[in-house]
Amino acid sequence: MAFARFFASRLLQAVPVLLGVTLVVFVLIHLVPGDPAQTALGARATPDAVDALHSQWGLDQPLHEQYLLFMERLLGGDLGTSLRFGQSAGDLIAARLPVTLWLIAYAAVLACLFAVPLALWAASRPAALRDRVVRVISVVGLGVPGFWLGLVLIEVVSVNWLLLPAAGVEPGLLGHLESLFLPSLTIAAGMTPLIVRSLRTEVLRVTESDFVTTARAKGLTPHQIRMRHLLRNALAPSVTVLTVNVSFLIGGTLVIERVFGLGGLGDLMLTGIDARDFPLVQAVTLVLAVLVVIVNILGDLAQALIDPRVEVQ
Amino acid sequence: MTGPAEHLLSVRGLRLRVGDETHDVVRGASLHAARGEVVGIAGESGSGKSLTLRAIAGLLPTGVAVAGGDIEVDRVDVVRAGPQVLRRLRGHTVGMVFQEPMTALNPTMRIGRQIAEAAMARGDLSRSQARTRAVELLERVGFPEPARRYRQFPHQLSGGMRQRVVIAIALAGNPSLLLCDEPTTALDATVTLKILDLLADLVRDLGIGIVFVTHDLGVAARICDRIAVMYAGQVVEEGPTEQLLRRPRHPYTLALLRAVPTRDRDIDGLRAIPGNPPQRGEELPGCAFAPRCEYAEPECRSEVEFVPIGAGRSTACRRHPLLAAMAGGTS
Ligand SMILES: Nc1ncnc2c1ncn2[C@@H]1O[C@H](COP(=O)(O)OP(=O)(O)OP(=O)(O)O)[C@@H](O)[C@H]1O
Ligand code: SF4
Ligand SMILES: [Mg+2]
Repeated sequence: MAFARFFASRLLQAVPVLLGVTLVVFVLIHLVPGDPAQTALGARATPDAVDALHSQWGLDQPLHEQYLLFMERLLGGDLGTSLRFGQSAGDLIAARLPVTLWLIAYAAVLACLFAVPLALWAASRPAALRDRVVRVISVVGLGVPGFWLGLVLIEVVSVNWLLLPAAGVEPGLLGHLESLFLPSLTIAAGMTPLIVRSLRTEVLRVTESDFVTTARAKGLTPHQIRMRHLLRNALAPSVTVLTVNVSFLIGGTLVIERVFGLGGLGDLMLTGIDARDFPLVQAVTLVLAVLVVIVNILGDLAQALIDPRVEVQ
Repeated sequence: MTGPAEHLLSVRGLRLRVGDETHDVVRGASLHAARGEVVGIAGESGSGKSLTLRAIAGLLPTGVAVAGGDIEVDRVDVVRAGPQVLRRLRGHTVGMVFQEPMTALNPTMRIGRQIAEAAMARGDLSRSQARTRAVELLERVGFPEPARRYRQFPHQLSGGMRQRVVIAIALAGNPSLLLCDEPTTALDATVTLKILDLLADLVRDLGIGIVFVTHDLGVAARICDRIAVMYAGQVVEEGPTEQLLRRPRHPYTLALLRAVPTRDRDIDGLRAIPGNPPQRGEELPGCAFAPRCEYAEPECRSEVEFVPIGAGRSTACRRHPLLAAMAGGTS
């Protein structure tokens, strides 16, 4: 099938990207000025301890040997050991990853739920009042800093109205939906305007196209034309906007995670950087990069599902 | 002869205006068509052919509005109809075929569904009946293996096949009037002939009427029973195809014919029409063609009228007897 072939080719294309990522992450540790082991252990570390870390990390070997060693470890599923926690970095990440994924997916879904109707509504009467209202909402949404909006939401919804939990994650599907609503909403508020803007522009462009005239000539209702002909053809560029946004979000949720006390991947990354925990930072960076690659593959697949012409290119 | 009341389509003195400009782009066009008849609208680019056609289906582009005149399709007053009546008209009575088969189809929807959807717009077919009808229509417009082709997307088809899909869509609601806007302009010569044959078959088999916009008199001669020649937003001459092309009664028709290459006239014999069509918004007292007309006289600048001159013909040229006297025109 054409679609399966398309999927396979996208996966193949990801291989060199992933190799590049491992290379960058590997080099990362050597970009730190001075001796990484010394930096990691601090100024007061004994020379013996520094030496031990050297050989543990393989820093006494030639560079290409080190990379091969690093790759061998990775392919064996070993993401290294955190200095700060004395625990496998993989385990630490596995414990934090779900919250972050939840947060990103939840925010993306909310953003789409807001953006699609808003964009269709605004585009249905360009330059009319509704169009301007949506534009003002968008500018406000873009302008408000996430941490501030998060704090206001906590203050109003959780503290004053006692509606939703202010911090932490509750177990279970419903618990997740409830406790992650405010942080996801905060993130979605920043994403929605960008999607609205691209979708509105596209809907207006597609409205002018010949096949919409064909659809009108068939005697379809405006609603049928919107849902069957306008939306799908206007969606592709917005999927790109969404993909780029989600890619930015990966590793970019740390502020929101801190504000809402969620302890996700972003939080773990901050902890790692604070503690100069090189193996942990390396591992988290690697996982984030892989996530970005996956999101982009998903974005491409979504494009192919929306527009049959994509497979052909 | 059918009286005007029995016409499937009648357009009288149609005026179309762009935005809030003070001058009309279509300035009193009149036209009629009966069932089983192909009526051509010919004329240079910008003469208002497409806008007139779109006005008939109530599908004017945003910014263009009817400023006067009447359009009646199958006893429906199109100019004064509300959105619901217009939708019904489009689903039931009128089908439209566009110039660009590459852009007239939704690129993300299977062609079969695009036809079935049009068949369902009438409201009297179930989903599966509409599907069956779409397959029948694909076969009717010349698709081999219609059931398999149902699932194809537009980009998998050639221009000629896409135009057949557009025609199938236009036929889906069982219309009595088909509006075609230069349906073959984007196609090469052999495909053009096939599409023209298909349309002629449809007129014969289904008894529908067709309004066929073209700037190609060769194409018009092949398919049209009658031709209306438009110049600067007006119909300047109208009549049965053969008589009109052999013995034009308007200098503009004559000029158009002289600009068409034929077997016994090579490129050197071609004569471009001198001058340019009027600018949009230009004041046009009297005959709009006067500045370019070799027969013009001072009176032409003051008044002209579109009048019947017998044998089912009409012209807007006050000097038509002179043209009639010139032995045989261009034939
Ligand atoms: N959507 C529109 N908005 C404003 N003006 C328009 C629009 N469509 C057409 N016009 C103007 O109306 C006039 C008639 O246009 P129309 O498309 O009917 O010409 P036409 O005879 O079909 O020409 P062609 O052979 O190039 O298709 C032109 O001067 C054109 O500039
Ligand atoms: S009315 Fe006069 S100017 Fe107009 S076409 Fe006839 S002869 Fe020419
Ligand atoms: Mg046109």
